[in-house]
Amino acid sequence: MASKKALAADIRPRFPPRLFWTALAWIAAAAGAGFFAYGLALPAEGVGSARFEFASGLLSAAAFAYLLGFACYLWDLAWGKDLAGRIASLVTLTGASLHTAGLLVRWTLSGLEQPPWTNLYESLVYFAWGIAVVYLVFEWRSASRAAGAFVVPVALIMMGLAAFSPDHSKEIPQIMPALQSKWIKIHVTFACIAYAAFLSAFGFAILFLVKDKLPVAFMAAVYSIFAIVMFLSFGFGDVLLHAEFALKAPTIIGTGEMMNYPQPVPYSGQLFLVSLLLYGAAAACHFAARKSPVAARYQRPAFAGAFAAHTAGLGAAFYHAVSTHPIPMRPQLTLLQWDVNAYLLALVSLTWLGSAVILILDWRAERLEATLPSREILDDWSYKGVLVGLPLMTLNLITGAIWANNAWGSYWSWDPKETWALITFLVYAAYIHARIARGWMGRKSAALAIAGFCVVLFTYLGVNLFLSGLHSYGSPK
Amino acid sequence: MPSETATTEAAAPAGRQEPSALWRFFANVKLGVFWLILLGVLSIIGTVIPQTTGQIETLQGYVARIGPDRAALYNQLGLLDVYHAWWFSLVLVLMCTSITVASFDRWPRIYKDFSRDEPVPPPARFESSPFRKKWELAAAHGSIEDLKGLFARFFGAPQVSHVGEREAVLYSNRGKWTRMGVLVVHAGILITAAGAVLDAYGGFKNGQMFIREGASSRDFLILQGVSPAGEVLTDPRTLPFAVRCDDFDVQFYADPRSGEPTKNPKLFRSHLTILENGQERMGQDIFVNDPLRYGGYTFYQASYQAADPTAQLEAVEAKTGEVIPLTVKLQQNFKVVGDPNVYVASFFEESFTHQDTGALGPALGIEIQGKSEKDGGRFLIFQKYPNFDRERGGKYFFRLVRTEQPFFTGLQIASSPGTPVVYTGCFLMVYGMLLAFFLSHRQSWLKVTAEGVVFAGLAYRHRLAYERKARAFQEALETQFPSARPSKSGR
Repeated sequence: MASKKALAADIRPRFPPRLFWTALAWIAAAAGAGFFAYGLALPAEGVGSARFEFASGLLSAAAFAYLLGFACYLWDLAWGKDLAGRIASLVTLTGASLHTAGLLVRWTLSGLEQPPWTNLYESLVYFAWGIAVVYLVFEWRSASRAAGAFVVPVALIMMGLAAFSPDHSKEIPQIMPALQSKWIKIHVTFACIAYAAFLSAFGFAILFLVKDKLPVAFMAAVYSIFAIVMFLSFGFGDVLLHAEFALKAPTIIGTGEMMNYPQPVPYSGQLFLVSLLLYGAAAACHFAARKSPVAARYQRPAFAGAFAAHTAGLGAAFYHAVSTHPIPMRPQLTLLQWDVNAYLLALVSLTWLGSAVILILDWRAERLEATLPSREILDDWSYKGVLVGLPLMTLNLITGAIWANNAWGSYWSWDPKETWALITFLVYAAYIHARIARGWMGRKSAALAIAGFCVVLFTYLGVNLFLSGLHSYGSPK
Repeated sequence: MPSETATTEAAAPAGRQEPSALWRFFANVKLGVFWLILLGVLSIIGTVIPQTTGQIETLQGYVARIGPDRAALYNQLGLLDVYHAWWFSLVLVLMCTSITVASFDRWPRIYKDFSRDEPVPPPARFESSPFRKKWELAAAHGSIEDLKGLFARFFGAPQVSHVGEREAVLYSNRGKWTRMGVLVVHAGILITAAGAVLDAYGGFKNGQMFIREGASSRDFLILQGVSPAGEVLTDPRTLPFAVRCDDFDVQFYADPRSGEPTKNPKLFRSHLTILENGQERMGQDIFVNDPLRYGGYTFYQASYQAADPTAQLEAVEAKTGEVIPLTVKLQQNFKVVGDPNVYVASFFEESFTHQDTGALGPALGIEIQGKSEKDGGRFLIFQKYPNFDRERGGKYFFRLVRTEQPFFTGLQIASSPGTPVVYTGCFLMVYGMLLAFFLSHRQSWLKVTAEGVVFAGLAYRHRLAYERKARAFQEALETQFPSARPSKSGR
């Protein structure tokens, strides 16, 4: 086996490689500790205290670092600049360090009793932290930056969505008695790390498919269908029927009134409709190419067009989300900021991110493939992600059951979030069985890891968006 | 590994009967994966169709929306309560059967691997090991103590077997218990399921009891659901002891800006005392996440109701200053000895505010029956201003001493004999996964002869990690014994 030596070279840790970079990494980590100490010295009393503002500032800085890190990972990926890769790792580590400090400072604001993950805003920030930390650990252990350009932007998007949440949801929440439990700390943490591990498994499964030379055109066609399903589900058909994309506006800030006027976003619906049709065209071109090879030529322009329309529609939605609007039927209450349905924006943004990844792959698949570790290693890393994620998911289910039994006298209530967490568990259990007992490796295994992550996404975001239940305190209703 | 061969190999060990077709059917991993996926799909149905067991939808709601016939049909099919439908339970039972049969089916092979101890392995073990390496080393047998120390650093203290005068085998057999991991996980699932069944048939979880502050009770109701006619079905029960509610307290969050109380509850607390044969057995505060457990029952803080408030008054004879204490309830008539008037406490406010004077604190409104407002038939008394009512000029004037807002605490009562079983099962599930996923059974040998040294190793799982370790050992050996020359006949 001649590849054995190459394999050994691949798995030997290279990061952090030299004293200089190691020193910088330690400084980045120490900076977080320093900022945390500084935050503790600030006064914490009252709404919008100096410490609160400082914590928010740290989180914004972390988001900015992820943006920079993402750009550098992309640079490394596209042009093979090792320096860019090193900077990407360093900047992302700095971001995670500030992120940790921000979360900890925020935790002290509630007198340590209430962890900083009790509502949607906090959950997005916390899960983004989990993704960043788990990614950095994977990068360090695997000595490969290949997944950075795919994983870091997920953390970035979640931080961005948190930043776009309305101001009142960023305050320290006043949580109901059922949530005041020691179990909230451990239960949510298990979910956070499990999801991040499943995301890693998903990322490495995609990289495996790239290394395995699965044609990007095929990935793009499958992804186009996925994007169409996403559009139809989150728009409930409004996009298709009325060319409307509605961001719900359940509460009006300032009056605290509960309202529910879905507000069509100007231009977004039309742009998403164009995007949806072009995604359809891209998929059709690919599958028609078997009969008429000419069709294959039109797949790339159609997909690029769909992506452009998607980008513009998303831009309009974000612009709408942060600007102020008069409220229909209530002329006396004009110019107030609308609550944004952050789950909806999250799903549209993540779908957009997927398209961006496909385009990057189309552009740079060959270079990426050359720099990736072997197929066996990528397959093994993806499997390891599931091996880490599944016990944590089990612990998440168990701690949730113990908590429910303490609060409500029942381990299990078949609440939608609970049920979907169980479904996630079942999917990955099926993955493990197929792998260990049926010897599934490679593409089949990768396909299951990808499908599994779609279920994770639904469990985290979809359930709160489409279904209601005991966990709906997290949803923007 | 290909399981078809593994299954047949394990299922038909020597001296055993050929397993039946049914046994092989349930032992198949493919069927296990099928159950996992089927259970997932059925669970999805229950999250997509609003279920009548949650608080979201009721059977009446369905009747109103889709008509009685279709509602009845869906209900018959179990679609409106998927997780308690017979077919859902059947899938769970079949899945447990699969787990049980598959575990017994695999047991002989797992036990064989688990108990295989080869201090001196057959030569084939050295030939087939992918991590084999051989060195020529003249003084090998003389340095056996050094080799032992080196080996122990990487693979743990070895068992040493001497073969003849000039040959020895160092052997380490680590992590054989990890072979049991898969069985432990599956046993955990079965035990958890057994605990759930024990709870379902030997316990209950939706008992309900309301106790007024200061009162005690033994009676409670078990809610059994809602009849098609919309009646709440209950089953009255009696506890073998009494529960007294000494105190109930509800607190609300204050608005962080204004400091005014909001409607967001911050805390519910009841102080309960258990009374058995008239004696106090135990007393404890319970909160939403902190129930009281006694005699196999668990009492959860579930809800509360406000009872009518009561007020402590003093009627004062205006001339003599004689004081008569009174306790009145809202909307109940009361009289004062020597006063023909009939009074009614008509309203109470915790914080009475007047536009001219601002906040005046707790206030009680009193009416005199048969008198109009003009004749002084309605008046207010304030806790903060005890002599305010003297100005009215009646024979008696009233002082508001204090008011009380009594509550009923709402307790949920559950009896779950299966709890320890469920927790044991959960623990085994996680422990088994740690064994099965992160650790591995590793056997390592170092044969030391007069001519040289041969290393061989086997890793049942995580071969890449073991390979790294084996390689590191081999490098360390070459560093410590610079005269060791890799043998050509090895690799």
